[in-house]
Amino acid sequence: MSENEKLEYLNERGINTKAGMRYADNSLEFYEQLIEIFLQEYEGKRQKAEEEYQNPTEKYTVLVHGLKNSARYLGADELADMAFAHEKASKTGDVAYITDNFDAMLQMWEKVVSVFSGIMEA
Amino acid sequence: MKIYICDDSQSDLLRLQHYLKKYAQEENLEIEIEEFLTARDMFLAHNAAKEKPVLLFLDIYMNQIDGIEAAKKLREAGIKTSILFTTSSMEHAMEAFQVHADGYLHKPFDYEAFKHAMSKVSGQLQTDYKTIEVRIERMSRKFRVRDICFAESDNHGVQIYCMDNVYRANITMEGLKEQLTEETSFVTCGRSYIINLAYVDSIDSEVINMKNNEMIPIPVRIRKQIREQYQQYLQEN
Repeated sequence: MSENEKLEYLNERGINTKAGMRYADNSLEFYEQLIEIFLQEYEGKRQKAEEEYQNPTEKYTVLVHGLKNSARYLGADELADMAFAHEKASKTGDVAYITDNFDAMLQMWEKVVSVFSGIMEA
Repeated sequence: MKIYICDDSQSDLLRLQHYLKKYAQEENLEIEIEEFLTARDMFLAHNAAKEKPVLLFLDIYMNQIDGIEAAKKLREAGIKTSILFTTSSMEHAMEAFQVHADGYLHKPFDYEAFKHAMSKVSGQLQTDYKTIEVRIERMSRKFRVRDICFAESDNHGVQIYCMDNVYRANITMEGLKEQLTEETSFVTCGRSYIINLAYVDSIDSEVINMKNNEMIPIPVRIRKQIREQYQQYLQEN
């Protein structure tokens, strides 16, 4: 895949590459390095989220806060918005919101991971 | 100069490192970056370090010790290092102000926002750590600007006098002046000298006595001007 093809691939799948590239100093190489970290961290962070979400404490807040940041930086805005909603719910102790919407966030997270994997494996 | 970055996100560490390296290249700064995933690791490194950092980037939202708490501990220990907080939430702005932080970088931030935040601390960094690059015996060599006592033209080159040594650089006097043009402590003395006023020991009627025991003749027509420049430098510093 050429540089343009990679960006096109991501755009078509809902990634805001304009933002992602801006935060990666307009370097696709650097953008891919950051994506690589996001992919490497996925398994461990997802497991932690699954352990924490039913009884959310400060740990859960920090975790979804981090997810919100890394997703926003990469242009995965939908995932960032969902993680932000979980962060707010965790801070206010809204456990019902977290448990009701956890699967949806997890599915979005998996989707983003799958989309990013698409360009890394190409 | 040493810069610490403390953030529990690997990608944020990498991004800041990338921005810092680019900034250092643009501004001719020599930097050494150390990264920490926890404030505790940062404290341990700080305590053990011979060369202390001149700037800290602290993430606010971290597990165990958060950035604000870390900054409070540093200030309580009398450490006055410049601090730039990085966070995606503005709710800690007041606390950041209370620990005398030098700025706040709101995540997500791009390189332009980073440069803007750096401008708040870079004045001091520029003064202390700016370098110039010249060729000496076919080798490129960096000099920290503040280490240069004075420079004297020498045929087609320039002699650069530091406290410990004298170096003959393959650069014209004009070329060197151009590189030092933004340095307020440097003044021209006749056609042959550029002087760092920080290294002036005293000024007699006809010569400038430098701290490295060298004497620099002052042309008659600029004696008054040199005295005034030196007086102004002393007042401002």
